Amino acid sequence: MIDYRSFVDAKQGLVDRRIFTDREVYEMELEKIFARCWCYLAHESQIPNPGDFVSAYIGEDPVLVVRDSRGKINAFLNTCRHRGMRVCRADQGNAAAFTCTYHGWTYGNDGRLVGVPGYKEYYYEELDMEQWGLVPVAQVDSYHGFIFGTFDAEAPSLLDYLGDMAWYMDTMFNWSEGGTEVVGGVHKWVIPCNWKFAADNFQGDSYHFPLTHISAIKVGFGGGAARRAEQDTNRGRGTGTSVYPGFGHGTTVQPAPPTAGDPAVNAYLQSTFPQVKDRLGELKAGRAWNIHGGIFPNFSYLGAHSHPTIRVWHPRGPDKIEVWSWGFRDKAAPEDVKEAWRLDLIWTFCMSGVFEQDDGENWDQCTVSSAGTVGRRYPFNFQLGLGHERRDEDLPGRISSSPSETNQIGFYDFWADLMSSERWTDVLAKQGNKSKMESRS
Amino acid sequence: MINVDDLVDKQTNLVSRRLYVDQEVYEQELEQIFARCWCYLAHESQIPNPGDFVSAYIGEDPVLVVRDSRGKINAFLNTCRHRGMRVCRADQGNAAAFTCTYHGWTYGNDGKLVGVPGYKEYYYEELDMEKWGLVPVAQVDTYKGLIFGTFDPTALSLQKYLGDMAFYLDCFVDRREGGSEILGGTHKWIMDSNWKFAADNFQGDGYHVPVTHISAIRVGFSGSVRRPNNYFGRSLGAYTGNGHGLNFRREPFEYTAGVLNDYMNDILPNMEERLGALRAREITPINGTLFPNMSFLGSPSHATIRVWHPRGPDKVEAWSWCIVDKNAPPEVKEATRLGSQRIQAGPAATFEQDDGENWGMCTASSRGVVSQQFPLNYQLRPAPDRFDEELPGVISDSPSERNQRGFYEYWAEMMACRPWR
Repeated sequence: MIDYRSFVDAKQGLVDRRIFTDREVYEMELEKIFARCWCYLAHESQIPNPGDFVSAYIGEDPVLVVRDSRGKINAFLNTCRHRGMRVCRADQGNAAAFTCTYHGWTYGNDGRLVGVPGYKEYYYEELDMEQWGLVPVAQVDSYHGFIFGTFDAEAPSLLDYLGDMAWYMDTMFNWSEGGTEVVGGVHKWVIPCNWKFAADNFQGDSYHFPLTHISAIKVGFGGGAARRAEQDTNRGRGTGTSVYPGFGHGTTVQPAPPTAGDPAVNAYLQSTFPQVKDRLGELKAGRAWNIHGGIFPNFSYLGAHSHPTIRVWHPRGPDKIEVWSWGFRDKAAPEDVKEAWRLDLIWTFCMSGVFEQDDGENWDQCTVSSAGTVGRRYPFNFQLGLGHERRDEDLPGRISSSPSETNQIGFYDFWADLMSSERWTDVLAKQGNKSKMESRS
Repeated sequence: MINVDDLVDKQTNLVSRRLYVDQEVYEQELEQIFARCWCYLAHESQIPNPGDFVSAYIGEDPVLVVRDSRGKINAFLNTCRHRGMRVCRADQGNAAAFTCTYHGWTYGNDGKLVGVPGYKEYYYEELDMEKWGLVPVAQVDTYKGLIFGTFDPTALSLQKYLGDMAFYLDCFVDRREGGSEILGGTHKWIMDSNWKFAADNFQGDGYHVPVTHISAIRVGFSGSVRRPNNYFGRSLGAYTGNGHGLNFRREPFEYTAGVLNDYMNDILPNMEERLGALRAREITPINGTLFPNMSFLGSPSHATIRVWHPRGPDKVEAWSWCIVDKNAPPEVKEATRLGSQRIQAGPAATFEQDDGENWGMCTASSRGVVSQQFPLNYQLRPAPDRFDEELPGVISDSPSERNQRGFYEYWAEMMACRPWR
C-alpha cells in the first residue's frame, strides 16, 4: 500500500517525483481524483438549444454533455450499456436521441433507453429498459455558464467545492452583463507529459514566464502584459499576488486590468472599466484582477484581457496528456476587440502558439527526467515564497507576493489529502483542520 | 524482488525468455544493474577543453558529462533540482554554466547552484543553495580516455571493475602514442529489442556471423578483412569476469584496404614498445562487451564503440561512435570511418541491419506466453574453463557461448543485489 501522503511535504516545500511518472500512482489518481472531483465539462454557450450536445471527458471516461428537450443540462458516460461502444461519436451537434452504431440501442437526450432493436422478438420484452439507460454523471452544475460534473454523489456542492475561488472567477468570466462566451471549436493536441506539470504551471507559476518565454517576449508576443511582467522581473518586482483559495485551486491577481498589446482592446478595457467597477465593486475590480489560474484538478484559464483561453488537461497515462483548449471572451465586446483576442490567442496559446510550445517542451522534459531510476530519488523544490504567506483583510484565501509557489504546494497538498482519503468527509476534515491551525497561528 | 535463480540456470546453461520482455525484470535491472554498475559515458577526446560537455545516459537517467573550468571531469544527473527540466538540452558544446530553460536556475560546470532568479526578492535568501546543486554521479573515472560513471558510491573502483578486460582494451584504445579519439559525432537509432540481445551478441557471438551476415559477406562486405578459409581461423573468446567478454584474433588481420595494412605495419614497433610483443603481434580484438551495455568492434577496418541504452524491456536506443588512433594519418582515419559506416556503424550499415532484425524478432517472439515456457539455449561448446598462461580470462575457441554464459551469470549476481566483490 502506497503512502500517498508521504509524497508531499507541504511544510518543507518538497514533492516526490514519483507522482509524475508512476503507473500505480496514476491509476489511483483516476479513482481518487478524477472519479471524485468536480471536473470541467463544457460551457453553456456551446449548447444553447434543446438537443445541443458536446463531447467531454472526466479523466479517461468519455462523457456526453447534452441539453435535453426540456432544456435541462445532463451529462452521461458516453458508453453504451449493451456492449460499451461510444453512443455519440461526434464532437458536437444536436440530437433528440443517440443510436449506438454497434447494435442500435437508442438513448433519448435525457439518457433513457428508448429503443432496443428486437425488443419484442429477441428479448421477449423481458429486458428492463428502465435499468439500462446511460450512466449519469452523479452531479452536474454550472457557475457563470461553466458546466462541471462529478461522478461522486457524496462530493460537496459545486459552490462549496469552488469556495473562495468563485469570488475570483468574476474578474475573469463575469465582467459585464453579457458574461462569457466560448468561441469556435475545441483545439486538441497531445503532449508527452504528466497532467500535473501543466495544471501546476497554470495554477500559479509566474516564475517561469520571463525565462521560458523570453524569446517570444523579446520579439513582441504577449502584448503589454508580457512586457510589463518582464520589466517587473528585471526590477526584482513580482507580477502581482498569488492567491490560494483552498481545495487545490489557485489564481494570480493584480491591481487593475492589465495593458493588452492591441490598442482596440486597451481602449475597450479602459472605457468599460467604470461599469466593471460598478458591477464587481471597487475591491474586486481594483485589487483582484484575475490573470491566470486553475480549478482542481485539471481546468486552467488564462488572460481574459489579451489571450483568453480555457483548457482541460485530460490525463492519458502517467506520461501523456490530451489538451482540450477553447477561446473565450467577454460577450458584450465589439467585433474588432473579439477578433484581436482571437488572433492574439492563436499566436500565443494554442498548439502552434509561441508560448504554448515553450511550455510543452519544459513539461515533456520534466516528465522524462523524473522517470529516471536515480533522478526520481530527488524531490522537487517548492520553497519559493515558503513561509511568507499572509492573510489579507479584504482578499479571500491565502495570499503571497507573486511569483511564489504557495498555490502549487496547496495544489499538491490537496492532491495528497484526496489520494489518502477514502471519503469526501475525510478530505473535508483534513482540509478544515489545516485552515483552523493556520488561522490560529 | 524477482528470484533470478529461476531465470538463469547455470547448471544447464538455459536462460528464461522473461529476461527480455518482462517489465518487472526490467525495472529491477534499472535499479540493480544500471544504477550500480560502471556505465560508459563519453570519451575524453570529446571534451578536451574546460567547459566542454556531452550528453549521456545511465540506464534511463539523462547524464551531463562536463569538464569544469578547472579541468576536472564531472558527471551529473541532467535534471534541474527545482522542477526536473533537463538543464542541458544540447548533445555537446562548451559552457561555463547551465541555465534551466524553465525557471532559470543556473548551475556552474562543477554542478554547483550558482544562480536563482529572485533569490533575494522571492526566496528571501532562505533557499539553501549549497543543498540544491546538480546530483553528481557518485563515482566518475577514466580508463585510457574512456569515461565511466556509477551511481553507487560503494561500487568497486573502475580499474577493479574492468579487471582483465583492460589488458585487451589496450589493444585498440591505446596501441600507439596519443591513444584513441572519437571521430565525428554520435550515431543514434532505436531498435525494438531488449538491450541484452545486443550486449550478449557483441559479448562473444561469433557463431551468428557466417549465417546472419552471409549476404553481406557474399557481396564482399566481410568486415573489410580477408577471411581465412575455415572462417573462424584462430579466433578465441576471453571471458574476463564481472560480466565482460570479447573475441579476438590470435594473429593480425589482413585488411582489404591497403592503407590499413601499411599503417598497422608502420606502428608495430610502437605497439610492441607499449603493449609488448604478445599483444602487438598476436591480439586483434574483434568484438566485445563491457557489462552492462558498452560494446565495441576493435578492428581498425571498422572500429566502433557503442552503448545500448535500455528504453523499456523491448526497446533499445543505440549510441554509436567511430574510434580511431588519435595520431593516425587522415587517410587511415578515413578508411576506418568508411569501413565502420558500411559495416556496423549506424542504422543503414549492412551488418547492423541484419543484427537489428534478429534482435527485434527474438524479443517479439519471447513475448508469447507459450514461447516463454521454452528457455533460450546457451550451451554452445560447453567445456571446463580453460586458462592460458599468457592470456588473461577464461579462454575458449570461437565460436563458443562461454562469454555469454559469464554475462548472464554476472547479470544474475547483480540482480540478486549481492554485495560488490
